[in-house]
Amino acid sequence: MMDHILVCPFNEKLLSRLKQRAVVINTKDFNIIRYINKELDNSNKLHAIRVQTDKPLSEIHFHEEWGKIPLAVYSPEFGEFKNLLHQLNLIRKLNIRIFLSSQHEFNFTGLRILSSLQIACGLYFNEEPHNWDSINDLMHYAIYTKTTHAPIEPFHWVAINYQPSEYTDYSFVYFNNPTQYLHLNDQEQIALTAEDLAKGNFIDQGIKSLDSIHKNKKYIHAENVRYEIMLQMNDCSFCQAFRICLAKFSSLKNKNQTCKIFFSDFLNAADFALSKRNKGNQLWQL
Amino acid sequence: MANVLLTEKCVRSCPYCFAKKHMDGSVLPELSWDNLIYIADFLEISGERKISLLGGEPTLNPLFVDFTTYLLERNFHVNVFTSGIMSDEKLLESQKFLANFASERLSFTCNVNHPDISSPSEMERIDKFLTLFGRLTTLGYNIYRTDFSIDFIFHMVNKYNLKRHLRVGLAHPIPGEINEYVPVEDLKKLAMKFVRNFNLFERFNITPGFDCGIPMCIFTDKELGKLYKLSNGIIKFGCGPAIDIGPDMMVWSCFPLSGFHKRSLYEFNSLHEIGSFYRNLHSKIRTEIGGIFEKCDNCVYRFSELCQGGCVAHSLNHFKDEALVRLKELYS
Repeated sequence: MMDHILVCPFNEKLLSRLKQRAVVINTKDFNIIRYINKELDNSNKLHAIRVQTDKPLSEIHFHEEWGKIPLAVYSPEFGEFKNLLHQLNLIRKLNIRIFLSSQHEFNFTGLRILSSLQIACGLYFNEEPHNWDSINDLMHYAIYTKTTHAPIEPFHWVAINYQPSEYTDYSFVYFNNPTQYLHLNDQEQIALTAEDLAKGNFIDQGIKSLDSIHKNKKYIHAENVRYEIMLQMNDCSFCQAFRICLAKFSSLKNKNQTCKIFFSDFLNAADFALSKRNKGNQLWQL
Repeated sequence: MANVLLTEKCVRSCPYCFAKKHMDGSVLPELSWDNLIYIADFLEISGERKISLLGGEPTLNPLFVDFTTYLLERNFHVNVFTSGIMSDEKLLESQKFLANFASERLSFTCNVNHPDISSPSEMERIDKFLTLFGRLTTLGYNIYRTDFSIDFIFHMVNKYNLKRHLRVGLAHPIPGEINEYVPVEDLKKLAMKFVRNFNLFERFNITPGFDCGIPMCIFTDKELGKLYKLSNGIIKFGCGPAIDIGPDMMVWSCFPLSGFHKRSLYEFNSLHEIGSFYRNLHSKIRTEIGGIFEKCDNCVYRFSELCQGGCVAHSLNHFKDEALVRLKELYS
């Protein structure tokens, strides 16, 4: 039995063929959020609606009727705090995570603002992030700050899932890990990640093939080669932080000055979070 | 409570300004978002829910409204020290975002000078501010000479329906600087002048409250009895660390001591630690000189902490022209 969550566009015909499956719906249109939820109410299990918008966060019009609909909003920039102010109470009531791009410098401050105001949020990386110091500062804020604040992803996800003896892949946060998520387009073409889907790197086609995806050669191959980079002689394979980075930024040229510093600090922070998790009196196993 | 400077720029140039030493060297930018968030977290960890925003003139920080609303969203009680002098644009923005808050959450202390030393345009702007924010505002008045007059205050409180309280400050010397303040030997005269306003406080039902550094003994026992009644039993003659945090994240005890053992906020883990650090320094000064009067050394009311012996900056001023014979911490 197939247990993947399927990430797909909002296409009623497609969704009617995905009955009883968990789905993440990709959309750019805020106006159809309520409609999507209604449409999926009885037939599919809605894992989340992922809304990618070009609007700054402060210009998005949030609605009370979104209620408990699981939402992941991806916005390129924070915008003006003043313009967001009248919506803060409402946002706090919604079942929402707000993601801001690593492209704009003020977004790092914006994420601190949101988190400190108890709004769950996250950073999404652009292809070649240039501001590693800012990313590192935000990670420190997310993991080490002592005040009560809302989670900032992907840092929080790593902090609660990290195990030193395993690889920790924070791509889950972005619905992008093929062990849990598969991506579909309107033509029912299946890809391992959103990037693969966009590039046309499909592993199969057709809803029926989802049930036997574990037997799919391309799927199995992709699973096997995921950690192959460890066997290669390159910067990533020698990096201590590979366990939580998994060579996501292998194309960067100057790794020693960029991702390596950040991910090494991130690994230390993950260790710190783990030791905090393990602190306290542990009762014997029942 | 901590005082956070949003900017070091000011719209006025008051002759008594005890923030002057700090402001004059100002080449620093305004407080940034990141520093504000750090400060808010720091105060929250310290268990502190009250915060004062000041400057310079805090409304000159372009993010003044953003910062104030952010802190209110984080459930801090915010008090803004302002001259009330701001552009129409800033006033409109403030009205839009701040005017509807309850006074238990947001308040203003508007420091006013006598109309005789304020320009008509200043008075016009203050009028606009108080018309909009009167119900959230307490007036503050700094005494820096013995021939002061506060008659106009009573009129303003009624005219703008302000909070029925007057925060009375005393201008203090800035060690090593020149500013106007009432010399120690004239404080009794100042008290006599202030006492003449007791009937106005009573008639207008306005409570007086002293800012720090006023010694108790400049009033007679009879006057103190009246002050007790006028102030609803809340009258203080204290002097202790106020804790000011600058836009550059430096901290100091209070404006008159802004050059004295300035430290980085990052050196401390809580507001309590900062308070202890500066209280310890204050107590070292008090060990050298009990207070601003000689009799402070053996005063039972100082020992029982009913009075702190006046502003510690006066005491530090004693040391500036003498040989370095005191505790080394007093010469920082």
